[in-house]
Amino acid sequence: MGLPFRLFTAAYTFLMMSIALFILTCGILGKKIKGRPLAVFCISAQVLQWLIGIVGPLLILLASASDDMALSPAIDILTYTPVALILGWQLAREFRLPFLHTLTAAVLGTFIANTASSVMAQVVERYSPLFDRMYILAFVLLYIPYTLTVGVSWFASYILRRSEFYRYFSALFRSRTRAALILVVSFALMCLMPLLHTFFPDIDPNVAYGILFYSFIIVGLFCIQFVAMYTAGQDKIKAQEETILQQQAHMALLEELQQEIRAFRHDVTNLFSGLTLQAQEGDLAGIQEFMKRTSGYFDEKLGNEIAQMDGLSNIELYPLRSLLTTKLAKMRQQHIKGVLEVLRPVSRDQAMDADDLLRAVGILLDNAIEAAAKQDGLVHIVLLQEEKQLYLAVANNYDIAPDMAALARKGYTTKGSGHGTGLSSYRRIVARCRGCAMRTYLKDGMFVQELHIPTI
Amino acid sequence: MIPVYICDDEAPIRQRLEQIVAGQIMILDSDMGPVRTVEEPDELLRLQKEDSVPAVYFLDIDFPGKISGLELAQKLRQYDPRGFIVFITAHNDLAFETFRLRLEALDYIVKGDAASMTTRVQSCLESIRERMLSQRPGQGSYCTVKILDTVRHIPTDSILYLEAVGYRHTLRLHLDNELLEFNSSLDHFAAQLGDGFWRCHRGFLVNRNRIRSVHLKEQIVELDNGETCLLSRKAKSEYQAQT
Repeated sequence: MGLPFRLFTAAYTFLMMSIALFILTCGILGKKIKGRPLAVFCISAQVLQWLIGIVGPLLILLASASDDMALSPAIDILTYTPVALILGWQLAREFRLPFLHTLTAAVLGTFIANTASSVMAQVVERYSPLFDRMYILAFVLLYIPYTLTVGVSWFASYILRRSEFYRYFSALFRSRTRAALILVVSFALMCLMPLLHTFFPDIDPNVAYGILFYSFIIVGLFCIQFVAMYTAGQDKIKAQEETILQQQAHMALLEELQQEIRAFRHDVTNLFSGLTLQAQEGDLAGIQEFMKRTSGYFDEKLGNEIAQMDGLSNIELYPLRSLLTTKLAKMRQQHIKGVLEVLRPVSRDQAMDADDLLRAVGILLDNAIEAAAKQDGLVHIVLLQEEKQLYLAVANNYDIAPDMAALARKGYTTKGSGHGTGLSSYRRIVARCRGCAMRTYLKDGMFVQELHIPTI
Repeated sequence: MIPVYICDDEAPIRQRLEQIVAGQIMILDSDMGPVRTVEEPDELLRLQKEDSVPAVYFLDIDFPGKISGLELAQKLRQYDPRGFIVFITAHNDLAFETFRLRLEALDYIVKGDAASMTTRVQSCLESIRERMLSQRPGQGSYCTVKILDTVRHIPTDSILYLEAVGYRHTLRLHLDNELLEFNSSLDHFAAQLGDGFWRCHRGFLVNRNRIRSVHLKEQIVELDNGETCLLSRKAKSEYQAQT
């Protein structure tokens, strides 16, 4: 077999493995596979694998490793890790996801791709007729299994995407220890096969052994999936509880309004009976005086509540509506005047992910409520749906003017250490959304935070 | 001269407001005028382009069957981003925060008795005059920033520095008392702003006029409000070569 053919075969297997890895990782992350990042990754992985393939053995030889058998797994791990790192880094930039997520997905993807390729190799070897020609042997042993691996990966990726695996997967990263644990477990899985080959080099892979081995892997994957689903289920329960609370707040607002309308009706009846008397007596000056006194009465009493209701009913994005309801209720509790203005119906199709939008608005509102002046606190919320964008502004008055120069710094807060993470996560959320813009400024004694979100 | 426009579809309101505004301009003796009254929003949009900007606009909040005052104001703003907009409304319960924040509207006037309208117009014109006076020294250059479909003209003097943050294509613009974050590139602004700005680091573009001092040892550039930018080795050697 000629050298060019060998080199080409190696390049081909590398390429197939890179494609399979990319497809799987995208599947785990629940993203569509895009051509350009795939090409970039394939090229960089190819280069890296060749480099390590050449440099790695030399290094180990220099370190005078005597045992030849120990070489191959070390090189394997040495290859997988940087390739996974590269893929993780690339996808983190491409999809604007946290690096830890993409890295773990890449490591897990490596493991699945390797498993798939070794299964395919065994299957093909077992069920193909024997030939004595070398080219055909190479074809059977390398080309077919690796090509099949891509197909299997694509299928697995499709299933992962359809089952929205990423939702469960991302739930695993809620706490730092859990995230570290899942990364370590994935890494261990990735190293499992090379290590097994080192420790038990004599085992001849037969079918029984294979079944046992892969059943372990499947059980492991099931465990991951189960833990993830459990966590996601817990989150769902929490979210539902929150929704119930928000609806209760809405009910409270309605009840309050009802009470006030009842009181108002009582007032109006009394006032009008007085007016009727004046009219009968022909007291025109008295009636004019009365009109002047009572014209602003209704607005004063119920204007703000009604404006709030009007505004809320204009928001078609229901989670956002209930978030605003809760925050307005909170403001009422803390005797902060909350003014909500939503002139036009807010569309449901915003470029920002709904969860992100809720978190961003939640942070802005919490900050405004906390920073509003202790006496006569005032918070303005403005949402304006325009043709191409949703304009959102939250403004609050303050006791001490915030330091705009310091505001850009990470972890700025007026509340002492341990606070100030809200604003930086707000920034991260906004930066993640393409085309979004934010503006922070002081105007007429108000601290204003604006957010522009493109509408699809 | 700053042109003044009054746009309302009710003739009596138009006339009364014209009288009040013209009278107040006389009293204040400011360089505003001529005062023009318009019935149709479209007519105003046409007239606006014939005269100079910035201008003062008194706009009715709704024109039944035609575009709303909000849309009219947005269209006027596109051509005249620094103009002064005052709304005329029949009700007190106007959602004014939207107008004030989104359109930077100055104030609103409630249709009613002449005395209260006069005081309101007076205070509007006074604050316009004040703002024009305070803007005068900064009549220098402007930097154009386009955010989605809104164009803003920012006085170059008020820019402290621009910073590329985190992910690619996100830019943070530091102004006096304002922070602006949007998708753009530093190269674009470096080209637009020219020599008045210094690329002191790959991720920083600093207004030369706002630099207080350059700390070569610590490799930072300090600005006149105490904020600091990074100084790259390349920019440092450039700086040393110049001085």
